[in-house]
Amino acid sequence: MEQKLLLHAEKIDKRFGPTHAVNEVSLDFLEGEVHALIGENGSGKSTFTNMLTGILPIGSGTFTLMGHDVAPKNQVDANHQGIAIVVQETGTLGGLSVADNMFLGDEDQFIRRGIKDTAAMNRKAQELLDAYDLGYIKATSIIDNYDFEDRKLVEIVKSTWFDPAVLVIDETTTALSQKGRDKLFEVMDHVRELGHCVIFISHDMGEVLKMADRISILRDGDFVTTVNREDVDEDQLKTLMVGRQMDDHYYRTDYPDYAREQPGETAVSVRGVTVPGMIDDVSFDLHRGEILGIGGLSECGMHEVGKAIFGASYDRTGEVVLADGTKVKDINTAIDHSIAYASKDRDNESLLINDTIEDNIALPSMRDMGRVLSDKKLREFSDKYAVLMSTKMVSVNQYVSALSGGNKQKVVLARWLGKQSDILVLDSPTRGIDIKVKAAIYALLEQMRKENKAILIISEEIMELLGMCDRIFVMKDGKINGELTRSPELSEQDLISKMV
Amino acid sequence: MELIKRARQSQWYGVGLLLIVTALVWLVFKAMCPSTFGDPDQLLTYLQTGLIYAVGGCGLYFIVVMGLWDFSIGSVLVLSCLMAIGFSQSMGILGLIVAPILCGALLGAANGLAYIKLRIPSLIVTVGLSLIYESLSVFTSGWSGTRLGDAYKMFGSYPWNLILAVLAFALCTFILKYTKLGTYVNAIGANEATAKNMGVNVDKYKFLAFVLCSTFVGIMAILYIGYGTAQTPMTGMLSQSLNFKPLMGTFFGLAFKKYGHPVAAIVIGEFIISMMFAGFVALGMPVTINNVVTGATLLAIICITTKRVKGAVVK
Amino acid sequence: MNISRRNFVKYAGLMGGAAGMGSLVGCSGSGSGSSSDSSASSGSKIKIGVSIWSSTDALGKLSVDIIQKAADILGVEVTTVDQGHVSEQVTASVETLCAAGCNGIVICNSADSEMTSAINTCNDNGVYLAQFYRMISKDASPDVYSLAEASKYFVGSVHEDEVGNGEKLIELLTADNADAYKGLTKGARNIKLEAWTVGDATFQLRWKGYQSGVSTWNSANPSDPVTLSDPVYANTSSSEGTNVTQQFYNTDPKMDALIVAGGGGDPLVGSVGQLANMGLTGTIRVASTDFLDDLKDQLQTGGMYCESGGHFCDPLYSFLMVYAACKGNSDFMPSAGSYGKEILFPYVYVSSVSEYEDYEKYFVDEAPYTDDEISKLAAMSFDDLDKSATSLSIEDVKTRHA
Repeated sequence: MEQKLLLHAEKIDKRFGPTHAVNEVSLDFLEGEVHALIGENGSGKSTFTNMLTGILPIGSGTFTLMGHDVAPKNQVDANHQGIAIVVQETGTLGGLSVADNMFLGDEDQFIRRGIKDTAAMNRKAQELLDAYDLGYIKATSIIDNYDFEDRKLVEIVKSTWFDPAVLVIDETTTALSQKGRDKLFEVMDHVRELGHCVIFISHDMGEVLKMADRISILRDGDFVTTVNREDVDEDQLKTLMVGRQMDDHYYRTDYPDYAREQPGETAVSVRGVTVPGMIDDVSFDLHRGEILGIGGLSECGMHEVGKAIFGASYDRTGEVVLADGTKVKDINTAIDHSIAYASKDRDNESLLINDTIEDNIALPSMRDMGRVLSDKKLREFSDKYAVLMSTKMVSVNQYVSALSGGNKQKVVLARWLGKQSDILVLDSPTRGIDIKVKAAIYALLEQMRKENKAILIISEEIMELLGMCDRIFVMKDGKINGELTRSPELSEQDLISKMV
Repeated sequence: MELIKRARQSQWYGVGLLLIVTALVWLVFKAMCPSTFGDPDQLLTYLQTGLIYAVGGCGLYFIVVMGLWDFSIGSVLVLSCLMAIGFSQSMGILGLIVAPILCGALLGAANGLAYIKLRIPSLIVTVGLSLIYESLSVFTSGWSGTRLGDAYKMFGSYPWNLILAVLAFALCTFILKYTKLGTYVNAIGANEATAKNMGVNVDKYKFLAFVLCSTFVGIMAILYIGYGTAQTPMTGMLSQSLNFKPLMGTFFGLAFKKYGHPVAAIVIGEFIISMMFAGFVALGMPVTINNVVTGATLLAIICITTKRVKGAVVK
Repeated sequence: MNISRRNFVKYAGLMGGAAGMGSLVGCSGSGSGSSSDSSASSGSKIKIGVSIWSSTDALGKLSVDIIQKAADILGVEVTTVDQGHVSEQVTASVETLCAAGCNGIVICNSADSEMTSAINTCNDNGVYLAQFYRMISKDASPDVYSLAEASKYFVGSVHEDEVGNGEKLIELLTADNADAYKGLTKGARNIKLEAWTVGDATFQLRWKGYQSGVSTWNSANPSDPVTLSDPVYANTSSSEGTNVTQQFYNTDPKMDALIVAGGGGDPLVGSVGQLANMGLTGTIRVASTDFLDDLKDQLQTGGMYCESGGHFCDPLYSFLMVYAACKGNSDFMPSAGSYGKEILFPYVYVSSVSEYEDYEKYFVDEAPYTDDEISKLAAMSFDDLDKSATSLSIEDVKTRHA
């Protein structure tokens, strides 16, 4: 029987500054289907569904649900219009009860003359939890008493108890144990049986192929194609996810013969580094004169590796040892031993946003400038490196908050240039940056590699890793899942196959 | 172990913990001054001052749980006390009760409006406004005088102070448990962005929280002036010194919030502080030792009950 | 006109700033503060600044009122700054008043150390300076004392014998008194001490006096000793005064006297009220400094036993000294090498209803000095002024206003 159209997305578009996150994507979602939405990091899947569910305002385009245009202002508004989402991160609020969380923003159904009938709310919440076989979760308990998985299950109940017409599951399964996943799949089946639609975002191709009826692929914000589950296998899906042309305009063009060349001196040895819940027994060496890449899915733990090397990782076991035997256990030791770090969360962890370019560039170098700081010296120092990085600014007295993303990253790099760091750990160095600045950064990294510096790039962008790195470690679920060496034949496929 | 685990899951665990701390503090002082500390009628006197500050602490809770500050409560207290004095002379008991509460509500509305409209940190807004309220209290004292009439001191002693305080605690508990406002102030404090995303009108509830905070301070003023019977206007930011006793109770409420009964925690916390003060007087300890031990006890209780994450940014 | 909120806040801030600047410029008056010659003998209006802990509490208000009264009579402009006895604010208040163009300043500072910068600032600006309720201690602060001696602008100090005050109160408390309220006829032996702010200079001196008084008694009466508790602090709040008194009694029901050392009046009100709540009025002798408004009633009912106070004319004399210096009266112009003028101002002691009735008549209902008397005081030599000050008492006013 032919399924009817339930939800139509017409030229949905969204930009974030220079980044075109979703590019006029049009999609159809049918009644009674689980429709998977897959793509690499940054392909636009979450942005697309966030606009549908009221988390983000729609840039342009329309969603039409059962013949009516919908543009929810927030999640509760989306719920009222029959659209729900279970997000990847924590969607419940600490300090509130389970019942409060379940009905947050929607309490009016329990309000009589301004008074909230808490008992009725608790009763209803418990009934729903019992109906989902989650009776061990008490509606009156503070949500903080429950672990991440149970809190996620509460979110699932919250988002589905009213039988939404469209349910979005956004990369939720990665955080759940098998028990949690089974519960989620049960719910998805139920929604499908009701003749509604589940939009299922997942990186787990096995799950996608198990649960989905149809699969749509996005790449770099563009819609690629929609296929029926029975017409594809895992490899084909992975091929569809990638398959762009390598633009060697700004990446490296050299392919050293690694078999013959000796690797440079070991700059950093990472030995058995573990951070509970994030990375597990990661070991590798970073050499001078090499660009080493670490890639994987967003939550594979690679970002924590960068922090670990810089001494910014807490609850870390294992060792990070430098060539001279120094063990890096804290940030000051790392900086004193010439390690530089650029965080993925640029604005919050790499930059003093409400401060000048001068302070941002000079800060770690101030310890080398004597007890009494000279204004003039600081200004000249900062100016030199800002200019070296071609930072577009009025002067070094300008606040960093006024700069574009690209120029902010230039300030970060200028800082470490100024510190003459020999070991650079760069997490997502070109995230949210336009092509021209990307090219400049890649050129700088290549230059630094030739100067025998040791560079570690942690990146969610496969092309960047393929284009710039001598070696690439692929991480999955907190462990290193493969090591690949730079060669003209190395493809995105090779990386994807290790990532997912 | 199983018993402790089950106890931890009980919603009364936090209150139980605080009562144990109370008993311990009592024991320590009782052992050191058996004849001059801690008899039942003396305990009632400790509770008397504890109740006053606990009412203020309840009001402040609405603000602090959202991560905001209200440093005007001292000046609101002074002005409300003067209003109580003045209106009791013209309107009797009705004036004594209604005037300070209304005064508190209006000043709270001014605080909330200023914060919402000016979009600058609540600490700065409320300190700035407190200077204005201090000046208003000088003008008010010229009309009202500074001494409460004898006939209106009933809220300074049992049973009326207890009745009013219990009503205030019940109101606070009711608001927290049975209204949207109570849910939303917690939600905004937990994650303002997520709360907004759930359709919570953050500005509206912050405004209401400021109104509530100062309204409770108005109620506190009835108890405060009934107990002390005199209030001179305070200028030059001197009223800031009145902020801290209620705030200490609020900290107890926050620390024990996760156990589900912040009001009980505030009341018991203020009782502990009041009892410690009395204990030190009984011991004849100098005020410096009193302050050191009280401060250290406060820090200890908060540290024990707050989850501290390694490497987290703490402000 | 449509203004965005951001612009509104910006313009409001700008306008506020401009208004502030404008009022500052306006308040600088004739701009005479910038001249090095602070004498106003050229005929322009004299401006005298008052630096006080609070112009609104009981004693503070009386102090400022009497200065203002004299200023009105003499045609002097007065500016007051409240500094809360916070050191940094005390120092800043002198700078503010100099910058505002004052020819002279009268100050009630908190600690002697503040006078260093106060004197230096006045030296630099050519502004005359005198203390009220305060005196720099030669023993405790020799450097500051020397600075005052060397200054050509430090006029002097009007202060009370706080140690003597303390001693006198103990003397009154410990003596039997057959004429007292019936429950209070026996002298006290177990005295509790309630102070206000930790480290306050005035309190330290009074405390010394209380201890000295107790010591004197105990030396003379070794078999009938008096005990004085360590102080417990009630700040300036009536509620804290209430609580302290409550706890004193709770811990020692045998107490038979309470000294409320000071604190602006509110702690005393709280303490007396609490004793009444506990049904102890007329059983415990209460002594304090700074008269309560209802002292008469309290004396009548046994709520209070004795009080020292009525010294609110102290600032008047300080003001008159500075005024005279500003007028160029050579008797008051300071010279380098001498401390300046010192007036030891008397307290009025009241321990009976009739004494209070007299005080009330001559100090409260009527002013202790008429306008004419103030004018005459302003023209006196220092010796005559000093005599006038030290002889101030109920009897003195009675005689003058008979």
